[in-house]
Amino acid sequence: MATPKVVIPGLVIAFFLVALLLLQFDPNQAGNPLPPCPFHWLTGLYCPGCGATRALHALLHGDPGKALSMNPVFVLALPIVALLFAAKWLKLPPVLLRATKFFSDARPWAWLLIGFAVLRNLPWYPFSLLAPG
Amino acid sequence: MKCPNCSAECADDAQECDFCGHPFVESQEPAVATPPAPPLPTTTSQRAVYTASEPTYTIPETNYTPPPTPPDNPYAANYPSSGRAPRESYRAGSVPNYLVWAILATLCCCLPAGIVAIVYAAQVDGKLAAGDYDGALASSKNAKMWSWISFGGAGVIFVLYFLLILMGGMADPGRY
Repeated sequence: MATPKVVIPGLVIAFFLVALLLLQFDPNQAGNPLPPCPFHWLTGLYCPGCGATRALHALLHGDPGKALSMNPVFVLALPIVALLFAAKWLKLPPVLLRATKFFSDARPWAWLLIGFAVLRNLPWYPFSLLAPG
Repeated sequence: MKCPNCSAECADDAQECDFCGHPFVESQEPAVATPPAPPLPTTTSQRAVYTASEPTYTIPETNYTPPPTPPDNPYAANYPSSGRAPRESYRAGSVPNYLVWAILATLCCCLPAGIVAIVYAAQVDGKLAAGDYDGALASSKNAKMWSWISFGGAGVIFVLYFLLILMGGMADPGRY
């Protein structure tokens, strides 16, 4: 995509901006300035990223259980995405490199994310667990 | 050592990239040997040569058959962009699938474009496994494009949202 010289500082700055916003504002309170999901606002349906802001807020405030209830796939994908980014630019030990290879096939990801997008909109238990909140 | 193909860090004594499989040492024989097609002799030039050497001898027009051309790379016409013939399968990662960006676009941008990006990313790996290198290249291009569309769309929406918040805040300073 772009060169690491642009992407790495960009990602670091974006991360600290988001963290700063989430420490300052609570996305669970009414009237908070954090943006809602535009897709949910337009359609009333949950997208695969719905609840990610609240999940990140819960993680930053040390509540992984609540984070998982908001968006399990987002929370579980975070370390994997970090690993895939690290593998692009850092020299990793062979164990992590094997893990990277395991996770870098896009086909299971596509099934997972599309399946998640559909299932979390079903109103019945146990699928209702996948909806944020 | 840095891989010249995907710029991943690899062991210095590695024969090929751990991440994408790009070979570090030039292989002795080229991967795809395309024999150059010999110039097809036209009927008239053939006759001219014959008449020059043996002026009295003439070939009857009906007897002339062009010499058989050696079998060319049969996939060259179908695969013009990279010239890589299909084979059993290509190593996963030899064409970038932009998976991280597609995941981030799907999980953080709240737009259907992220789903499109990840479907194209999956197509890259599927086509590589099936040995379709150029199909994978085309899907790779689409995965990259849709990731950018997703990030761009989300960026525009969020900037507009914050502008509205800012204006709302100025109109109603008691709110925050």
